[in-house]
Amino acid sequence: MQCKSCQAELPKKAKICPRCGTMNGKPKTNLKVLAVAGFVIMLVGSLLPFIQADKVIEINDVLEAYSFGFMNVSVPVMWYLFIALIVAGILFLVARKEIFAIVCGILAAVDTVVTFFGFDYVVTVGKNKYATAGYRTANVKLTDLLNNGYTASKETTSVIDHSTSVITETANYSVGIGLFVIAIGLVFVVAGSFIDIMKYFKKDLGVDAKYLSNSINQSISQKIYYYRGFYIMFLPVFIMIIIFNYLPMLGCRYAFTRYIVANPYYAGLYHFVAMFTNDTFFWSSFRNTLILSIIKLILNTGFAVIISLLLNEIVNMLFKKTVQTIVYLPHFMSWVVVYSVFKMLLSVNTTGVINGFLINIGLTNDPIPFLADSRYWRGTYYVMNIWKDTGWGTVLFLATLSGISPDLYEAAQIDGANRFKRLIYITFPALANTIITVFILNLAKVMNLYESVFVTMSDSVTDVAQVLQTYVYYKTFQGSGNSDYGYSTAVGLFKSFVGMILVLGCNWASKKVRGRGIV
Amino acid sequence: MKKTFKKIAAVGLTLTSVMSLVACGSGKKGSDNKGDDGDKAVDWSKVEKPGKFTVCVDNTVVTEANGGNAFYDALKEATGLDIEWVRPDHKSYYESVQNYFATGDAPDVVLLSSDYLALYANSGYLWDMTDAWENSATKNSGRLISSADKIMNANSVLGADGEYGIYGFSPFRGNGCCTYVKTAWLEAAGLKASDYEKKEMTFSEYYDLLKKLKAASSSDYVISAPGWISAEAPYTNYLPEFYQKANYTFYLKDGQFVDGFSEQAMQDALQRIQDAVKDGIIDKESNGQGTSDARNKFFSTNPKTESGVFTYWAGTWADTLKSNLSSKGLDDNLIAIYPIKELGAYTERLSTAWAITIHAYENGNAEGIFKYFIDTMLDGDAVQMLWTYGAKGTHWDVYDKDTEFTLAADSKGNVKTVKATAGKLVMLPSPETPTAQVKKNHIDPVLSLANFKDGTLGAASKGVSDNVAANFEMFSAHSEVATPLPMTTALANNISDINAERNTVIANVATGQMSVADGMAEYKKVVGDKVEESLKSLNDLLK
Repeated sequence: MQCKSCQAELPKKAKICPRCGTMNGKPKTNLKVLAVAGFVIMLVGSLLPFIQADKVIEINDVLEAYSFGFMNVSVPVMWYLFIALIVAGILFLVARKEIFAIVCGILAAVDTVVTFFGFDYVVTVGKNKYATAGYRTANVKLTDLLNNGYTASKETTSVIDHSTSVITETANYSVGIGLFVIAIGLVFVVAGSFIDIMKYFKKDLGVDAKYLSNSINQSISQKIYYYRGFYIMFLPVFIMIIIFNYLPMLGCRYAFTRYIVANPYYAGLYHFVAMFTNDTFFWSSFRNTLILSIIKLILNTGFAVIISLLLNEIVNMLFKKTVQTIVYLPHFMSWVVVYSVFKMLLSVNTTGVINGFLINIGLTNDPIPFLADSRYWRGTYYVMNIWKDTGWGTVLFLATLSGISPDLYEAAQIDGANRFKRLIYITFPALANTIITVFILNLAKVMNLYESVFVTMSDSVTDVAQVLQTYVYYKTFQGSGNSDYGYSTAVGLFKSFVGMILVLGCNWASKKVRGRGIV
Repeated sequence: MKKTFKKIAAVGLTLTSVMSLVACGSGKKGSDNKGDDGDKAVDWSKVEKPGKFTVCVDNTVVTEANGGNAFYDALKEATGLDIEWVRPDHKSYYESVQNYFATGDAPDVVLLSSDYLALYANSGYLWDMTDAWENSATKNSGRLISSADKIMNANSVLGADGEYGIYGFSPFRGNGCCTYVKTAWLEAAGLKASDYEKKEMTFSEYYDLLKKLKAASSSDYVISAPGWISAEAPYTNYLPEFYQKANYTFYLKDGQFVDGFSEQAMQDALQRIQDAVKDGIIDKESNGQGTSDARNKFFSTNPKTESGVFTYWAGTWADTLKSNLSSKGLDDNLIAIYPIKELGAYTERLSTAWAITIHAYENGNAEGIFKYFIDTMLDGDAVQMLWTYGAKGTHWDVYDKDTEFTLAADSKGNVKTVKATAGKLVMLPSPETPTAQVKKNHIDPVLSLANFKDGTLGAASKGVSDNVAANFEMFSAHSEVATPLPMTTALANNISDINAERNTVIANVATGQMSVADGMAEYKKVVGDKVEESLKSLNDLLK
């Protein structure tokens, strides 16, 4: 076999020409993203129920036989095998071995079918006196449940005279969403292994790949060895990220469990159904999160730009530095301190400076409860945010402004441009790219609103102030310990899902605006 | 070949680690579990001392900064027990306890409020001490106070097996709040403290009194309340004269559970609070105010922000309020008024309880911990002294002859001298706050469930002031113990949302943002379904 570039004779199985370094043989293909998505869909499907009850049976605080899936199969190793096949499939895709990936996907589907028909499933039927013995459980077959339904019959104790009575309830079953999702995932895996959707998004630069990197022709292990110093330095960070960022993600599975105090057990989509259909405060918290975050972001960015432009116009350096220091300082105060300061200023009692001023100039007869009235709370919250963070937000803008060539201003001045025109035609265009970048970077974080709201909200403003993160906190810790961690996890998971979409959206927008992503 | 082997090895290692991670916490799934009720007969005379065990407490036991280590050492010496103390932050105590249980890292002994006791017992995480209590030295000592049975019965809750049992031990009564009025404020209004101290006023008379106090002061308000409603049962205890007999949550009425919040009594109460805020009687800023904020306003030296009436804990706090006023240079004379006629009686909250967890039961230590740790708390002797007053030489002492010692100077340079009578117990300067004496350890002597062996509650002969004793006597004579609310799944699922909406309505009505009728309509609209579902589940318990 000869090199396609220099026509030199190549050794057997050689991929790189030893003479000219040109890549030979089969060109490297793009990662099959669609197939990876298929595996992820299959993984999500494994958390969802295979069969689902038509009603909730809940006697003596135990959610009984509501959903059945991989998470309550009597032989959990089948689920672990499924996950192992999914992970192997993704690794094969990364290694460009698509055929093996398809095999893994098909084996995972077979594993699902075998698990569905071949094994018993665990039903939690009651509690033991001591939780060390776990819950009282029984085993059932899914085919029996689909055909005959499930009947629960339990004794309950009267709170008045401690007498007992028997309650009987029956549920019927239908095929759950989990099987459909796994099937859809499998279709994606198979089809995605043949479709290279990435090629539509990548430009062919017409340059030999070897010129795109100084080590493109080396294998991964060679690269790692060559840069071993950097990899060793990176190792602690890598371990920390795995422990603190990725391992906790395994907790996502609790969103599909009933988890009161401890000993979680599978509850399928019970919490998600409750969250979307029966939880008034969830939707208002979601709405508040978006409203507060986005308006705060726009105002903070806008004010930071204005302050930066004003600071940039100051000629006296001492005065400029002093002002800069003063506007930076509030950023370093905790929200508790900021709230205390504003609480004193906005007090509705006669000690309140702002209300005293408003009453004295005749703008109002009664003090305005800025922090305790739903009509004023949001406005006050934005003002507090602007006061605290505007100064810090100016750092990036001032750095950009200092990078504008003075020649431009001089030339404009010679051409007769006044200050305002120089601002409009030189400063502002130079700043535009940074404004968009800052805006996009912060947009990805809009779901992470917690401390500022937690500290400043009170019972009278919950309707306009409660955000998802504070809601999760209250649901977890404010129910005298009655909280279901599964429910809180479900709300948190939804928040993370929306956050992920925002991050990916912003990443895409970032690529469009500045040529590189944020992740 | 070598590369292929490497790839396969890498895939294999990854799979192994993923599977092991997923396997973590998989628990007992798949085991065919028919149950273990764990009941076995115990010969209590043969129960031996436990080995080392962990005890989780809040700051109601003297903190380490306040000489806690001396208490630990003295307790070890007196009982011979090897205890590892777990001291989570007091403010987030129950969050920490929740985490301990959720992560399977529960201590052997834990101090719990009535809500948590019911929850953890019902979930199977506490050891049933019914038999232990029946056979205990404390119960059979003959030194228990008359209401001891009632207090201990409140710790009889539904276990995970569906049977009622005693899962906690309360060494003292729950205490409650009574209303204190500053004598200086009364005098400024031309009134005599003696005319109100033992008078059962009507609400109208009480409100007239508040108006007179307001007129005579330059403050923006008369009452500083720690929020419009308390976060735990009995909820209405910080503004009892305004809530009167209104019930914040569900309660048993004529054999059926009803929603107290929807009743006319609550609507009237909310109207009274709204009017009082409008009249400048209650602090407008009570919204979201904590207990320390409200206390600080009672101790405020600024006439504009000082409050003259404060509803707070009875007993030891009667002295603490006085000493705080005194340390700020304010007149420290207070009267604790009787409950008004419409209120009838102050409410005594359910007591916190010591519970033994299944962690101790698993290790075979539960019986030993009960016998040697819990049952000795009220031994009427040295151990009860430790739990009541702390360690001798650190928290209290007894001198052979009359002695005087001084406390550290307060912020204004005032130095207080304490006189100790020969042979009588005297509380020493607090290691944490040397400007004041130690008040007590875990057990408030006036609230103790059992007398000392010499027949006293501690109040008469040991370090309790006359003021505290008299205050608690008044409270005891004019209070009722709160009734516990049973827990159901539907209630557990909904109660945090229902309470959140109740609090929002109360806050909005109190601050005048809503009328009472609008508030109630909003309440029904937002959580009406949840209230119905919860009520149904509670009434199902009656069947």
